[in-house]
Amino acid sequence: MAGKRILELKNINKYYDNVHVLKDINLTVEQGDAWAIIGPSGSGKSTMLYCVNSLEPIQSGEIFFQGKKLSEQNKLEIHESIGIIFQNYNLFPHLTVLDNITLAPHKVKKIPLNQCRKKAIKLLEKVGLAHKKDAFPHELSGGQAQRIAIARSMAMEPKVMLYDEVTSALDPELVQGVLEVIRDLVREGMTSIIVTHEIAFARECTDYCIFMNDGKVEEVGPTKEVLNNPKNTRTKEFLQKVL
Amino acid sequence: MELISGVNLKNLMFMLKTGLIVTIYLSIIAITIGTLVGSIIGWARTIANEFFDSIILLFVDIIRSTPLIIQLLIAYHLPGFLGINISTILAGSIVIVLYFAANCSQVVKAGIDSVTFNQWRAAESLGFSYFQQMRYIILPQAWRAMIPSYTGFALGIIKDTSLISVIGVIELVRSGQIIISRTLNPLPIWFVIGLIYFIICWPLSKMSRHLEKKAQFGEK
Repeated sequence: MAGKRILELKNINKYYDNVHVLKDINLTVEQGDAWAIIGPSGSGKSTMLYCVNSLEPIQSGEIFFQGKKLSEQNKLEIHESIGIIFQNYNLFPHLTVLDNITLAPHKVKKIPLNQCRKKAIKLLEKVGLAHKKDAFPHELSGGQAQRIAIARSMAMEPKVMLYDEVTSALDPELVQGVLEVIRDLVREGMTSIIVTHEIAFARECTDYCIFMNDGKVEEVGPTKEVLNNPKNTRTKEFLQKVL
Repeated sequence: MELISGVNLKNLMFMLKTGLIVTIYLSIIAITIGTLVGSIIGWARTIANEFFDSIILLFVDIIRSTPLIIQLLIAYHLPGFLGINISTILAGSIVIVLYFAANCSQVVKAGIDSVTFNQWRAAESLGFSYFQQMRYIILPQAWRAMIPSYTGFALGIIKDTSLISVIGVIELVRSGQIIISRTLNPLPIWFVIGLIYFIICWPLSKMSRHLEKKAQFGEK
């Protein structure tokens, strides 16, 4: 499947008021590829994900999804096709696990509820939490909540998955369970962009890696090259600190 | 009937019934129209820009920062001053509706604001439109925060409709005063009227507690 361009970012610039948070970002993602985005806090990694998903507007540049240019008009369509997982899960606290997963496919895609339920159960089995289907979010551990969040996103059958530091709010012993779910999805060929501080996971699981610093892409290339033989001095410094 | 000997009991009951009907009428329009108007104002404040928000807030603050009794007195005298011909009860009703709407708008605004930005963002990321986000994700959570203060204001307005008696509208309290002026026996009358308010308000107060419990996630 690889070879087909699914996502393209061209000269993206983003400002929060007067702060220039993304500076001339260029990126081409092919279908089935997994990308890691690493870099220090505040370097614009998460903001870039939000822009890719049209959750944040950009001030200049263009983003293409499956050849279609993102705009205010097709925002909802983009939200449907690109899933994003947040650091703090953001499950809907007033709904059960099952309702959390079925709400969007049922209301947004208008798929009949019983079909949504069947699909949800399958996804819950996949993330190993079928027994939690009637639980409420406050009854879940962080790791469980994050796996449910992934199932909720997958229920929309997205073409691309974005992960925004999804394990950084978790207790260390819960991290692996979540990473395993992401790893399985990547292996099944889900196009993924993963903002992470888990360098070992990035090394094992992603094809390409971007190092971002101060709103700029400082280095980009195959993950092993970027992590093993960084050319940029800033990348070197960063990797020395985190490894 | 010993307590009201020498007075036509039928007339007194009629008096009381008339007062009760006016009190119920004022309560119902205050709560229904007031909730509708208040919800629209409260919601509008969540999407209004600073300029419009400050205008709405000024209106809300004027109503909330002056006594209802003064507003009623102004509503009584103002139409005559302006040469407008409306009935006293209509003028009073408008004031009571606006008073409830202003308070209700604050409850609605605070309730919507109590839901975190992350919930909006998560909902948006799944493809929900603004109104779907509001309907399925934000309001069900905001509702929980609104119930206690909303029912507090609703119970308050039922009791505060009695203030309309200062401009001569005969509601429950005013009818009590009239009855007492004829029977000259205040205590039993005030007990009866207090009991009527209690019979109206107590079930609402009960219902509010039931709703609060029901809105606790995970106890459905």
